[in-house]
Amino acid sequence: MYYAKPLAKLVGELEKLPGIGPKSAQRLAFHILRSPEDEGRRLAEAITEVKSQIRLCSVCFNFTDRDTCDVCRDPKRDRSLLCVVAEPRDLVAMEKTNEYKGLYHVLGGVISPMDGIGPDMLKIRELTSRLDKDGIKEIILATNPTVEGDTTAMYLAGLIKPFGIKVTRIAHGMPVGGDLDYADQATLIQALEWRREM
Amino acid sequence: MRITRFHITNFRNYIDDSFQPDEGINVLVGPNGQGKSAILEAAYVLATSKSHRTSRDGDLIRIGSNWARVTAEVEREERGDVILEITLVRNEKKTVRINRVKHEKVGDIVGQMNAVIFSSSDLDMVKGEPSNRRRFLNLEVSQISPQYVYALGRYKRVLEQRNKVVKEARIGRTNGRSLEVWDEQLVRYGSILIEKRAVFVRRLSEIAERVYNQLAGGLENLEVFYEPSVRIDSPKSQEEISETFAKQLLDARKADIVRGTTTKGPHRDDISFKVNDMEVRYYGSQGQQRSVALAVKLAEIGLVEETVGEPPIALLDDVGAELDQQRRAQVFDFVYDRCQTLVTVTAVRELPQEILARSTLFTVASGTVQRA
Ligand SMILES: [Zn+2]
Repeated sequence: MYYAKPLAKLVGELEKLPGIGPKSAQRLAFHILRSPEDEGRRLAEAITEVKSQIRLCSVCFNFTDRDTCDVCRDPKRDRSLLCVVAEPRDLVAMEKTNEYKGLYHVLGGVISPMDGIGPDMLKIRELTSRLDKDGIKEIILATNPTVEGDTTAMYLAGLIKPFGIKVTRIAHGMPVGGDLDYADQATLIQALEWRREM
Repeated sequence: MRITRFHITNFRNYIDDSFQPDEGINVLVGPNGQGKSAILEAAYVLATSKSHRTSRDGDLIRIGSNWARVTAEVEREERGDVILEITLVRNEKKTVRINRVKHEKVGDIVGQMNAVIFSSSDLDMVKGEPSNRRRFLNLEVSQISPQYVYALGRYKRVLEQRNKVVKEARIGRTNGRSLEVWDEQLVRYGSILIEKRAVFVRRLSEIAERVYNQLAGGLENLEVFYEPSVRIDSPKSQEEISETFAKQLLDARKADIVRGTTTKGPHRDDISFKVNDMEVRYYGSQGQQRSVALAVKLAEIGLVEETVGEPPIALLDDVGAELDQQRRAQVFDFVYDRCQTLVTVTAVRELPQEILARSTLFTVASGTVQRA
């Protein structure tokens, strides 16, 4: 037995976190152990609070601590514009740009049969039910440019078409300020593939 | 194009070594197991990002090391000189640098330097299973088309996903329109592969026909045919191929669901080699099969030259064991004065005297290369 029992338990829990190997887990555990009493307690509380208070917004399925999330409640948001993302972290990335003023819909993943994720496991029915009532004029599909992200966007585009709502796909490929010489060839090809009319 | 400096670290049995090949023919001589072929393999990995001998990158890393690296300074007439580097890390994705700039996509290195390798597996391409020929197509078309590299990566992924969907459908679990979008994706990337392969084989056939004619002393006639799984009658545009593929994929859907796999598409393609209208794979003599393999490889040199505007680097692995004297002479005739060539032999007497006289000699012993 290398560690005293409570320490072994902490190391064991930390090791389960993504990207944390046994060495990092040990380093983190010793750090927590050596840190002041209240720092450790604050970490424990933060974890407990996240688990007890965060749930999914009943409208857009983003993480929220209230019944409807801050974005959905915000009266200044453009309600005719809806951006569809795969994960809450994609929503955070969009928000950080400070450019987008519409609403969101978080799918909770992308279609990937190999991972056992079919369309009915995503918040797609919930998306189509929003289309009927919310006065949405444009849907922006902002899933990642992976095979699965593209396929999900195509699937959604097919579903949304009958509603007569404009569907757009975010342009991806060229990084902003990207130097064409050094751009990855695949990125360039993709940028061409998803080019749009101006 | 030519390599002016070659540096190899923790690759196969090499710890750390570098050497400067000359333009023209470079002969690497040494007993077996000393690392001659590893040099050629490393050069091929730089050209294609893959080994021609193994599909497991881990095999390329020296035992006891966690990573391996190959770097080459390459002189190019058409696109300017370039420094290429590939780093393999055990159980991780390999990384590539082009002119010291790290690229996220490994595929970006493919075709920066062009190389054609002659090795014992060439005969498998003629004699072996269709998968050998698809592998050949993928490696070679990738070298001359970045779009092919991209489409191939995507196609493989879409195929895996679609196979999963049809497997589910087989046991009655269907997911609405899900199969339709995967079909659409399969067609999108598959059509690119089909079109590029068709063009490649057509051009390869033209050149191979000429080369084979010379090898066979004008007595026999070689033709190379692309045999796509999606039946397309004549040369077609990508849109027409897409339409045809989509239709045949739909027709095969029932069969696909029964079998639980995708039965139509470039992953089922083949090519055939015909000498005097006879399928060499089944009916050719050993000698004819060797000549066909050789003609195809030499034709590749011509094709790369045509496409990128300068000849590729020729890598001849153990030609002494693989080719008889006459074919050996024909190969050197072809590459001499054209390609920078790296050739491995166990003894110098395996090479024609007049070639040896114009070569630069390197001795290879226990993972070091030295100018003789
Ligand atoms: Zn919300």
